[in-house]
Order: sequence, then C-alpha cells, then structure tokens
Amino acid sequence: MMRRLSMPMRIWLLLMALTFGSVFIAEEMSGRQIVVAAIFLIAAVKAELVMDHYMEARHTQRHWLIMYFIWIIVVTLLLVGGHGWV
Amino acid sequence: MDESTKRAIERGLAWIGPIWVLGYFYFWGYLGRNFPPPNMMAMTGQELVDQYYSHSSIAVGMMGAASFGMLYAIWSLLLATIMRDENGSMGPLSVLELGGGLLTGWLLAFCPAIWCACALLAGQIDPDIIKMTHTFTWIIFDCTYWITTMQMGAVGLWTVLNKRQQVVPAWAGWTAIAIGASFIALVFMPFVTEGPFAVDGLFNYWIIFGTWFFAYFIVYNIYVLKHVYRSPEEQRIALGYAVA
Amino acid sequence: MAELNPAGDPILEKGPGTNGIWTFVFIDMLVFLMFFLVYLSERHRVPDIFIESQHHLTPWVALLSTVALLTSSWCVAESVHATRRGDARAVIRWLSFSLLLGGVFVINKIVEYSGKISAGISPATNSFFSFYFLITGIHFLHVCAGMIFIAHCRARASQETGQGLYLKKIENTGLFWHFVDILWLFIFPLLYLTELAR
Repeated sequence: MMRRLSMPMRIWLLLMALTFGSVFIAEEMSGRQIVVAAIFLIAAVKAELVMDHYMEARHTQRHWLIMYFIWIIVVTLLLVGGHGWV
Repeated sequence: MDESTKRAIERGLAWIGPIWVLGYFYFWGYLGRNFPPPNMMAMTGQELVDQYYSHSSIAVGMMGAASFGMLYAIWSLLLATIMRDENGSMGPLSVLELGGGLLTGWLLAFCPAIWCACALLAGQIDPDIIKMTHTFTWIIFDCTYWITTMQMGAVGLWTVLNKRQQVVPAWAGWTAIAIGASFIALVFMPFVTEGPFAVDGLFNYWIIFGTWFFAYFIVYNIYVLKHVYRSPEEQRIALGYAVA
Repeated sequence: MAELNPAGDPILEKGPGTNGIWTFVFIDMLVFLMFFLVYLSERHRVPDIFIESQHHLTPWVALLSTVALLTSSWCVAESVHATRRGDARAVIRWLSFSLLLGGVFVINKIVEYSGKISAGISPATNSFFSFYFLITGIHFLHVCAGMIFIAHCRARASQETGQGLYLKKIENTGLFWHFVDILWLFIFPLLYLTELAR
C-alpha cells in the first residue's frame, strides 16, 4: 500500500505522526527540560521534512539550501536553549 | 544646467545621508539622551522631570535634532529622483517614497522641537503637563510609523520589481519591505509600561531602530553613493535604460 | 524572474521557484527569528507570567491549526507535481483542498481570538499575550496572503497549466506557503506546549 502513496502523502503521514507525538509528549511526560527539548527537536525534524520534500530545497541554489538549513538549526537551538534556565 | 553641475549636486545631496546620521546621532541620541529614551509610560511626571529633563544637554540636543531632522527628507528626495522612469517622470513608487521620506523627515524635526520646549519648561510648569506633552509627542513619533513603512515599501518594491535596475540588489529591497512591515509592533507602545514593546524596549526601540539603521539606511546610503559617483553612461546602464 | 532569449521565449531559472522568493522568504524568516529572540528575552525576565499565561491557551485548538496547515502544504505540493504533469484538473482540485484547509486555519484563529477577547484577554494584558497576539497575528496575515496567491493560481490553472511561467508561479506560491507552515511548526510548540509539563 505504501508504494501506491505519493511521496508528499507519505511525508504528510510522517508529519502527522510527529505532530501528535509532540503533543502527547508535552501533555503526558514530566521533566520540563526533556519535554521542551523533545518538542522543539520534533519541530525541527518536521521543518526539515517540509523544507526537503515540499520546498524541494535540495534542487535550489546551494547557498539557499545551506542558509535555510542553518536557520532551522539556529531557531531550534535558540528555542531549546532559551527555555533552559527557567 | 550642465552635466557636471548636475553630478556635483547629486553627489552633494548623497552625502547629506551620512551627515544626517552624524548630526542626528549626536544631537538627538547623545545630547538628547535617547540611547534609549526614558520609559515615560512607567514614570510619573515628576520622575520624568527629575530623571530625564534635569539634564541640561537635552534642550540643545533637541534643537540640533530639529535642524538635522529635515536632512533625512533631502536625502529621500534624491532617492526619489533616482527611482524615476527612463523618460524622467516619477512613477507611483517614486512619489510614495518621496512622500514617505518628506513626512519622516518632518517628523524627525517636528517632535524634537516639542521635546525642546519640554526641556526648557521642565523646571517651571506642572510636571504632569511636561509628561503629557512628552508622551503624546512620542506616540506621534512612534505610532505614525506608516510614513516610513510607506517609504521603505515603495523603495523596496522598486528595488525588487524593477528587473532592469542594478543600482540596489534585490535582497536589500526585500529587507526594506520586511523592516518597514515590522514597524507594526509599534502600535503596542502606548499600552505597555515594560518589556520589549515599551518605548525603550528590546523590540520597539533597539530592534526596530537598529535594523532600520543598519539593514536599511546604511545599505541604501552605500548604494546611492556608489550610484552618484558613476559616469552618466554607467548610471544609465545601472538604471536599466541602456545595455552595457 | 524570467528574462527573454532573442526568440522571445522566457529563460526560466533552474530549481523550484525563483531567486526572488527564496530571498524574500529567507528575510521573512530572519524577522521571525528576531521575534523568537525577543520572546525568549522577555520570558527570561518574567518567567512566571509566561508560564501561567500559557495555561489560558487551548493546545488542541492550535493542534487543529497545525493539522490544517500541514495538510494544506501537502495539497500544494501535490498541485505542483500535477502542474509538472500538465494535469490542470488535478491542479485545481489540489489547490481547492489547500484553500479549504487554509480557511479552516483562518476560521479557527478567528474563533480563538474571539474567545480570548471575550474572556478579557488582549495584547495589553501582559507581555506573553502581547507576543501571542503579535506573533500569531503577523503569521495570520501571512496565511491570508498565501491564500490569495493560491486562489490566483487556482483561477489561472485551466488556462496556464503547461506554461513554464505558470510552473514558476505555482512553485513560488508553494514555497511561500510551506514557509508559512514551517513558521507555525515552531510557533505552535513555543506558544502552546512548552509550559504544559510542570
């Protein structure tokens, strides 16, 4: 069945799983530091999936691919780190 | 008027941009003690008079700012002439930029004139009246941001949509549009007494003024200066009127 | 975007979309990066306000928004593939779905805002809510703009599918829409999820 699904749809299924997973983690798990790191890491993975498979960033000019990828990393580190001290 | 005189005028006007920077930073920023401004929404009239208007440099600083303010308008008018069509007429973007630049320059002069009056009267009249005057002037200064958003949107769109011009790169145009749009956060300024959206806040002062200056004004000054030092023929090529 | 070769045909850039949209989107991403930075600095200053205020939000409402936007992105991606196949009817179908889902996001957001305001919560309530309204508000404007671009592509699909310039147009629209989606992927946990585990 998986072979008959288009690539965008397969990515969508993965994105849905990750989305519900992150809400589950946020609602049910304890340990704030871990939860915060987990939900933003999941967000980063989702963003990378969208960038790679929907935006098709690998097919654009190399400097954009790098800069967009770095943005995801910087935002994720910022958001995780920024919640780290309280 | 002969060509060399026109070039000389253009170059003189282009240097008004950096002169505005020096004058305004010194008078409004340093002497006027606006790095950053006092957070008047969180102060009583007496506190504002005691902690801010007690500095004797403020009246002089604001008078200097009232003079230097309009230099911004002059620079903006030069920018509008650069944005003209090939036949010399001003398209709508050029006129929008001109209008926005004029109004911004006026505001940069007009508000300091009022703050100068506040500074001179601070010891003599009811401090609450000083706070009222100071406050509504800041609300005018900050919250009529559309005059600058309009200017930056216009020059940004010209930069991006005019495919033939090579005076300013497209990224600078997008940046101008983005920064102009980000001013919308200024609507929060009168309603908050602390935090990033206050008059001296991280966003509404440091980021908005900082990005406006470093990522827009300096960038466009550099490209305008480069342009006015080109030969007439190189200028025509840069503007897309002629092919190299 | 497209220059003309001597024959008058457009010379289209390689890769999805045009350089202009990649530039514009990147700068817009930098603006939101600054919003996130300022949000964190304020949260660091008054953490209790942020922690307490987040509990006034309803994560499942935002979850619906997330699902709608992600699904809408999928639909736009499919519409781009359909354009490359030259299948105009599929293009229209996929773009219609994406508009519908965009509409779900919009209505959801309006309902959410109305709920907050009738509960007495506004941007002036405290700095968390200033950010909540500002960040989601500006994002909302981006969603509206994206929907206008999608609607335009849908309107032109039957006539222009198969043309190189239309492909660029729909790719650009897709890139902008996916960017709007990516922003929400970070905004959602930031505003709605971080303080739930205490």
